[in-house]
Amino acid sequence: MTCNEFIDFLIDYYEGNLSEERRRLFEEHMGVCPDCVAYLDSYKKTINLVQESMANPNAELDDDVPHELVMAILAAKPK
Amino acid sequence: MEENLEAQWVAGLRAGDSDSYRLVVEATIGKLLAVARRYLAEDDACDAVQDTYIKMHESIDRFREEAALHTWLQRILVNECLQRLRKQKSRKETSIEEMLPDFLEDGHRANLQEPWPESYGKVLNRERRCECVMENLNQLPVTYRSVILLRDIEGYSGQETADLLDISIAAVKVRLHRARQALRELLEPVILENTVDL
Ligand SMILES: [Zn+2]
Repeated sequence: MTCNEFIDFLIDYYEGNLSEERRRLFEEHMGVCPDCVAYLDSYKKTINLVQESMANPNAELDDDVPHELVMAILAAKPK
Repeated sequence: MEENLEAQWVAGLRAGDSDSYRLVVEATIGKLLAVARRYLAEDDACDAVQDTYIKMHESIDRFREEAALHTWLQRILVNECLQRLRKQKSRKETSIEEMLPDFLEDGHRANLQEPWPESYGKVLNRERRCECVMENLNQLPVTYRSVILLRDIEGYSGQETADLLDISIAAVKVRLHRARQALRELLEPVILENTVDL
């Protein structure tokens, strides 16, 4: 397996969707290529960072809702 | 939302009751606006939320009780946001190709890959780190950014994402993978330059 192929299969590996045979080749490549090991690791860390930033508690405070927006929505209630 | 309460509200909405409408808006708007702000700038986010409640009113008869009301509302909202994003075609975007890793002709890497430190989750302070992730996510072309928002953030399945974007599941997977790779590339200098030895 080349590094290029490794990256193509990476999403399926991450999601646990690789066939037994492919997974064996994938893991074999990891045994000989520290660059791809580092790449897979940083790919996972990227997803973790995205999920962390969305779990930001500050982003969901009701104080953050403009009062005018609430008033406009209530006033626009169709009859 | 508590289930009984929610059933009362839905019954109220169907009967056109103003109090139920107000209670539902008050209970759900914080979360909806937070979601809309991930897709759109402030004014458009507010408009999308407003239109979501109008749609809720128009189509409450089609709401199925086996879903939670806020899940249903969020889906209407996400659709509103995606429609608005599609209309913003004029924005100049970098091609995703430029953000993906390079390979030599033999399929091996063109560049060495520097490992990310285990302290990657502690670079900058939390607020700045989250802002930075958002800013870089916003650098991605809209079609790629949407897939990360839907799959990795809102947690929609491949099928749900395919339905929302009106593309195949296979296309969702390709876009998601490229989007994550491009974001990884954009975040890498931030992580490596701000790492402090702990
Ligand atoms: Zn490799």
